[in-house]
Amino acid sequence: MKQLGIAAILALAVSAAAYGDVLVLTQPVINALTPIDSVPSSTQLTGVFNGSELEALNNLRLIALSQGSVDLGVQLRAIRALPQYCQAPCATHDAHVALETIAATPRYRDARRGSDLLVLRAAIEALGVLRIPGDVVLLLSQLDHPSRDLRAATAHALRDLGNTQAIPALRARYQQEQVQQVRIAISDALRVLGQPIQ
Amino acid sequence: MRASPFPTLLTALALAGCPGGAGGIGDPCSTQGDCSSSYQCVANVCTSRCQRAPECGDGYACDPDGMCRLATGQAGDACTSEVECAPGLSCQLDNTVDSSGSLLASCTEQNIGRPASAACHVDAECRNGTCALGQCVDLCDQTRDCGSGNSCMGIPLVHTPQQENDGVVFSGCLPSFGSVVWTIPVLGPATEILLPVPAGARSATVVFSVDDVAQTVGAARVFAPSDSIVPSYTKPCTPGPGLCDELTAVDQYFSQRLRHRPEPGQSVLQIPSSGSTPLETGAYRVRVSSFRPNGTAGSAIPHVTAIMKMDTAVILDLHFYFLDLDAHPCQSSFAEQRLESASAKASSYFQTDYLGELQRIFAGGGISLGATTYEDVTNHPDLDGLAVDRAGALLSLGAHATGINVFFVRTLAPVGLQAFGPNPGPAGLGGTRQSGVIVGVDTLCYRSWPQLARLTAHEIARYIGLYHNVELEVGQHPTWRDPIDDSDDSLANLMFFSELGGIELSAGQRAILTKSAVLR
Repeated sequence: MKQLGIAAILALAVSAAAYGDVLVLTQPVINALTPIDSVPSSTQLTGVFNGSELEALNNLRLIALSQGSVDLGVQLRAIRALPQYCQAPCATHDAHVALETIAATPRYRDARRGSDLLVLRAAIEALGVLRIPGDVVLLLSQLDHPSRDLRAATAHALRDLGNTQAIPALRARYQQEQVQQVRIAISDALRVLGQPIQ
Repeated sequence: MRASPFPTLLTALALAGCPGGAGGIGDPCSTQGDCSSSYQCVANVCTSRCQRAPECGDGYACDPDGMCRLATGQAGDACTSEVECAPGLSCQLDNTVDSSGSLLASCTEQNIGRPASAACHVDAECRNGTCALGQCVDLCDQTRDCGSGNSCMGIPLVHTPQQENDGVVFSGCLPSFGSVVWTIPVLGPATEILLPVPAGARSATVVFSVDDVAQTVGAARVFAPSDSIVPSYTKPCTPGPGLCDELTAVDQYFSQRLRHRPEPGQSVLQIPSSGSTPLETGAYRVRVSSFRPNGTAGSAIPHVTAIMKMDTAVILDLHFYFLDLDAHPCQSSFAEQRLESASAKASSYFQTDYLGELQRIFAGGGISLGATTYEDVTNHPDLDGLAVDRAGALLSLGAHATGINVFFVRTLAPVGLQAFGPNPGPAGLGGTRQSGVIVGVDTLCYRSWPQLARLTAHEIARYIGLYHNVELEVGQHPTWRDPIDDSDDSLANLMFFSELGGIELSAGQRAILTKSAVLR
């Protein structure tokens, strides 16, 4: 296992270029983005990026958009960490744009299973946390996704988003939803949005 | 207090006359010389020599030669052991001390009550007049005075409400093995309780809970028996405006000799946290409290359960629970089957790649895997994909008190969280909102079964009482590490916080593991 761990780290220690920036994954960055039982805080992440919020944001964005050149576990945590760096006006902020990009990337948007589906779920979860009302359209497009886990995650994101425009679509989906896990997620979203199921 | 094993049958045999010579078991006798040298003559019958006094019946002692000796202590006579008092009497504490500070006891009429080892809340419920650690206890001088499976050991006197002389240690019979579990009454939202730690205990676990999960609960302060002024533990400050900052709170958490943090709904105090602060015999003074989110005193009255582990152990039972994992996006990792109890029992990926790796990891800690059980949880669709703030609802389904309940859920939210469990967990207690660990199966979309085994082992070890060997920020905050002296900062350690860590354990870490009530 020790050998496995070291091999994995070597695999992660790559540079990726995007947006003209160079991504360098140092050991502390990898450690910060692979905790087992906690979610890395912005304080922790900024700390491993030399105390610079800007550097942290840029690197997290690059990792989030890395499309396979970075270990998936690292990428997932980076995506999920982006909302912590979104500053007003968040809708046009780099962190939000990166999440929108991931959700719209065909590789992820059309994923039906496997790790790409996890990336999409991470982006959807993160978009919900940002509570940008305009994201309702993007999220609603995933409410009929073939994956029950993705549908449930979308319902939770719509709940967190807090935009009542989602109510008709949530109700409609509820009427045809067969999976109890998703029905519960939708009814929870409707409850939070203040609308009883009819 | 003890029913005699030599009643009517022995009397009848005695009347039949003595065979003379080397009598065997059951032969009548009138003197010791009538029985074979390996037997004794009791109530005119040759019988096996005793190993423990209870084998001789009420009012007898078992001497070093294995002979039952009728006790002669009469009502009012001073005594130190149950075996000194004549039949019908029991040796009961007088709740007074002599000039040397030792508790005095005397032969007293037995109570109408429960026998030794039966559950109790107060002394009066016990036939022999002493209730300790939630069970009726016989006073003793040596282990031979105690029933099989029990040892004579120092036990601190404790009453609720507290009385004079509480904390003074007397000698009583308690189990030599396994765990002793009992509830400690708490009279208000913030109360001092005494936790009696007997001499034979290897670890003590205290589980605090409140019904209102909006309030946190736990210890505000803990004084070990040897602490005079400075407590072994003081609750870290609560971060917030006008209170303290986050860094100060975390610093305070890591600086304690005993590691503990009150948590919403339920928390656990486990002693020892490390070899450098060993468990002490005596009464720990624990200030128990519920707290509001801003750290001020709460209104909920805590429930307190204590678990005393009486031996070291090396066998870990694992109880696996499978939520509905049908049509899982990572199904290629389980042979395109549905992962459930039946497939887990029969598949090589689970039995070899996962359980085999778990076995290998814990073998490095000197622990063997014992029984494994498998159960499907099909009637909780609300928990199939789990947001971590609902972990308590799932872990409450963890019915097994010994071993670890391991739950496999479809997904854990937030994404990236791979496993979750209490640190430490309520070892020896099932059915609580912290009774187990949770593993997200979505990790198998990008990690192997052996890697899943490593992170499961990490989480189990946290439940048992180990902490991260170092935290991420240890470079800036050198105290942010585990309290164990011989564990280093290595990424190769099982307790390294990252999923890319190794499986090594130091001797100090292994010692903590084997003292846990999780093991048998």
